[in-house]
Amino acid sequence: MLSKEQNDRLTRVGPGTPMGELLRRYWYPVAFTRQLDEWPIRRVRLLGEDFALWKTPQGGYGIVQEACPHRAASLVYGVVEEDGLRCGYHGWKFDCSGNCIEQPAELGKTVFMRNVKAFAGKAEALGGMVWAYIGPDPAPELPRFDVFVDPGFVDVGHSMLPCSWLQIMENSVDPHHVEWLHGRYFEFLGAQQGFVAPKSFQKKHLRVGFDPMEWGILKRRVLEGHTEEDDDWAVGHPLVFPHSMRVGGAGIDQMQIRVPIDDTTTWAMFYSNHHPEGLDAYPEQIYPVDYEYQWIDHQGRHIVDYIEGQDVMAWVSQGKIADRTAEHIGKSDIGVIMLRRMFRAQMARVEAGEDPTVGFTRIPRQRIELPCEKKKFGAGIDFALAWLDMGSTRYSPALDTLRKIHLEAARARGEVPSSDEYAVRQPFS
Amino acid sequence: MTEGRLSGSHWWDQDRAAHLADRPRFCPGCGGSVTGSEGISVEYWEADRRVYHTWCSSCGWAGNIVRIQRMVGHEPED
Repeated sequence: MLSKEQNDRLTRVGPGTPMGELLRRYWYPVAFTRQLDEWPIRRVRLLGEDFALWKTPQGGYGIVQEACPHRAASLVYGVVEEDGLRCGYHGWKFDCSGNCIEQPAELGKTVFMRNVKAFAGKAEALGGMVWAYIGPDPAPELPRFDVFVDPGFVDVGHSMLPCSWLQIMENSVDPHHVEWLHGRYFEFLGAQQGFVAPKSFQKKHLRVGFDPMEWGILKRRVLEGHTEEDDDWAVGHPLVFPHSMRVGGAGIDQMQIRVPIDDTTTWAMFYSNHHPEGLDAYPEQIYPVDYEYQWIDHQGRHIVDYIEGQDVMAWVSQGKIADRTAEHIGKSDIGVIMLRRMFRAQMARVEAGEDPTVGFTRIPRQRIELPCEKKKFGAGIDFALAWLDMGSTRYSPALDTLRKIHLEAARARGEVPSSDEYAVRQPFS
Repeated sequence: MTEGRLSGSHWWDQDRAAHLADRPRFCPGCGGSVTGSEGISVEYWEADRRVYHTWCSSCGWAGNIVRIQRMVGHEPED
C-alpha cells in the first residue's frame, strides 16, 4: 500500500515531475527504421510530449518538438532537407540540434534566428528501431544489448495499451503470476474452449529471489521438480531498468519493452531474436518483422487465450493508473517493493543533480550481454513451439517461417517435437 | 485515482485512512521524514504482521518497520 502522493510520484511521467525527470535520462524506441524509410517524418509521443522525428538524407535521425516555435504548426507536416527539417507553414528550418537556420520571410534574420531554438533530442538506430533521448546533455550511451545486435531472425509484436508503464514493469518482478495467470487460468480456458494449455507454465513456484544489479533487478525462481542448479535459479533473467525485461529460452531471446508514451499510455513491445542452437543461417531480413498483436475483441473483451494477452488483461484491468492506496500486498510481492524502492532511490539521485546508477552508462560498448536462462522451465523444442503458438507471435506474418526455423534447428540437434502436427512439417530451407 | 473506473477503494476508505495514519513518518536512522518526497514506505502483509518497508533518501537507511499490537514471547507447545 502506498499513499496517494507516493503513487503519484511513481506514476507521473510528464516534464518537471520527479519520475519524468528520471525517465528522461534513458533512451526509448519510438519507431521502426522501416517506417522512416517509407516516409521520412513521423509524429512520436514520449513521456507526455509530442515530437517530430525525421530521417536525414545522410541516413541519420533528428527529433525536435512537434510544435514549430514560430506559430506552433506541426513540424510533422514539414519538408526534409539536406541540413534540417523545414516547417510546412512558413518555411522556418531547424537542424538536428534544434537551431533555427532559416526564416525565409524575415528581415535582419541572423539576430532573430539566433534567438529562436526548438527543443531537440537525440535519435539513433539500433536493432531495426529508432531510439530517442529527450533528456539533458550529455546524453548517456544507448545500451547495445545482446538481443539487439546478435545475428538471428527478428520478430517484433507491439501494441499501444491504455495503462501506466509502471504496472507493466511491476509485473516483471512478480514471478508467482506465471503459475496462475499463464498456468491455472490458461488451463481453465483450455478446458472450457477445447485446447491444451502449455504445461511448462503450470509448475508451482517453490522459491523466488531478486538481486539488484547494474542493469536492474535479476529475478530467479525454483519451480516444482527443479533445483537451484537449473537455469531458472542459477541464471535467472533481469528486469532492465527502467522500461524493459529480458527473457528467453529454447533459442529465443526477447526484450519486452514498455515505452511510457504518457501517464496512461504504454507502447508494449515484444522484440524477439530467434537463433536456436543447430542453425547458423537464417532467412535474410532487411527489417525486423513488425506487427500489432491483438489484445481486445470487437466487443471490448480482453483476448486471453494466449500468454501476452493474459498479461495485457492483468496490466490494463488494473486501471489507467493502478490505485495503490487500495492494494493489499504480501511477502510474495517483495520484487514489486524492491522495484518501487529502486525507482525512488534513482529519482532521489536525479533530484540531487546526479546521474542514475542503474541501467545507465556513459561507456560505449559494442555488445552488452545480459544474464538470461537458456533452458527456461526446463523445456526445448516443445517450449519454443508453445512460445510461438501460444504467445503474441501467433499474430506474426512470419509465424510459419519461425516454426520452420525452430523445427529445422531441433532436427539438427536430434530433438523431436512431441506433437505429430509438427513432426511432419518441412524445414524452411 | 482511477479515472472512469471504480477501484473498490471507496468500500474501505476508513480502513485505508487508518493504514495511512499508521505508517512511519520519520527515519529510524536520522530522524528525517520518509513520507512524500523524502523517501518511500510501502506497507505489506506477512501473515498477520503489517510491515512497512521503508527507505530514507536523506541517509539511505532501509529496512522493515513492523506494527505490533502485543509483545509475544514463545508460542506455547501443543
